Amino acid sequence: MSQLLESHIIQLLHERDKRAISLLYDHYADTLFGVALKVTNDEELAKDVLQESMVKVWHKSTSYDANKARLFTWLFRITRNTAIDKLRSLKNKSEKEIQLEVSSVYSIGENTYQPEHLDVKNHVNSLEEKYQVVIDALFFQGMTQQEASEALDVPLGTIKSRLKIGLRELRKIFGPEALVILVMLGL
Amino acid sequence: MKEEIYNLLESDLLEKYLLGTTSDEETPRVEHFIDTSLEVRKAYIELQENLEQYSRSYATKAPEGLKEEILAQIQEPRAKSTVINWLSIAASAAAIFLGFTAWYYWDANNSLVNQQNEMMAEIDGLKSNLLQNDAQFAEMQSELEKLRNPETKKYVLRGNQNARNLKTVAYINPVEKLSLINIIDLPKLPEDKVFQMWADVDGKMVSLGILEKADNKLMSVPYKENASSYNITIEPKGGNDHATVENLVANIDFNIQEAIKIKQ
Repeated sequence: MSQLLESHIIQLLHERDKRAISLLYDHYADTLFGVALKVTNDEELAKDVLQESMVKVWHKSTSYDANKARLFTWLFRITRNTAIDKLRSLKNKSEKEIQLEVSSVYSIGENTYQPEHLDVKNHVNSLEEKYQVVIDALFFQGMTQQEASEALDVPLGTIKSRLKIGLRELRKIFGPEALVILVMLGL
Repeated sequence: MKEEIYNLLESDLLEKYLLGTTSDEETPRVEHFIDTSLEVRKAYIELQENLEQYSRSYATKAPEGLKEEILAQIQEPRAKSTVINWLSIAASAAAIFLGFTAWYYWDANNSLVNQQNEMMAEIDGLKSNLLQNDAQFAEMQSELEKLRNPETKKYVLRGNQNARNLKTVAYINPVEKLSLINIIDLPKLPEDKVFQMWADVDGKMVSLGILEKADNKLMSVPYKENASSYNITIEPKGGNDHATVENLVANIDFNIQEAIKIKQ
């Protein structure tokens, strides 16, 4: 997203102008829905998460501080935390039931991705799985490094190093050359 | 400083800050280094860019119609308004409750005031009765004293064949000039007839009044100086100005009585 458009949205948010939500949705909804889906593995839940998150964004619009985080980072935090909270809430109610539903009922995976995202996805897939797993655990599953270490049965030091290397590799993937692809895809 | 920056970058604090999961103590520390260290700031910006690109790689078409639902939802009154509505409802309920409570206590207070007034009236009544009883008692005592007085003379008037059940006792004190009668019993008369009492004074019958059943109660009758006898006649209802001698039913002659006493 261009800096100009992002500044415009932030201004509308601070002015409590509802057009901000419309613009945010147009430019971030698919990405945030993907984030919600990655956390919940459930399309219906992800839909609820996105809806709740956008409403939260509207209600918290005046609290956004552009000096502390980029607009997407702020949106990501809200969506991720809403998804994790919802998932934990459901798991608390019936952990066993939810696990069954997630594993056998709801459709997830490659079928839901849009064709225009496949190239980017392929780029991400070029990142070794061991790095993806660590990044996913920390960024999408709401785990701390210690929890990821225990869950993945990998030493804490290794988690830290894989996160660093994974992020560095991502930087390479989304470097200048990758950015050209992303711009061409309109992302 | 460099070592601190190195330690920060080697730790997961920057990632935690990115996700908004740093503690209250960690947050200002990380923000301090982002503001003061170009290296940390650059790492933080890169981290944000990576996160966005990485997230975009998982972008998925959002469900149809969701945008309209969200826009419709934020058009509705905010939660704050709902809170205000609930607060208004709660305030109304509280006001009604307070009003009802106030009415209840006001009503209860009125009842208590009424009860108190009733009790005061009863107490006043009892006081009045007590005073009345005291007065009656004093009167009875006074009457009893008169009857006990040695100067008081007792005379019994009995009915003749025309009024067999008539029995009246007269108490006369010529010193105190008192005259009392106690009607023990009176025969029943037709509705248009009454018993009337007379004193014979110097050969003239003077009315002392109409006799009425008084539940064995002592009644005062006018004292007549020089009365020689007391007489009871049956007279028309309302009494008669002149005694109907032929209807005489009881008589007591004081002179004869005195003569009998002297003789005894």
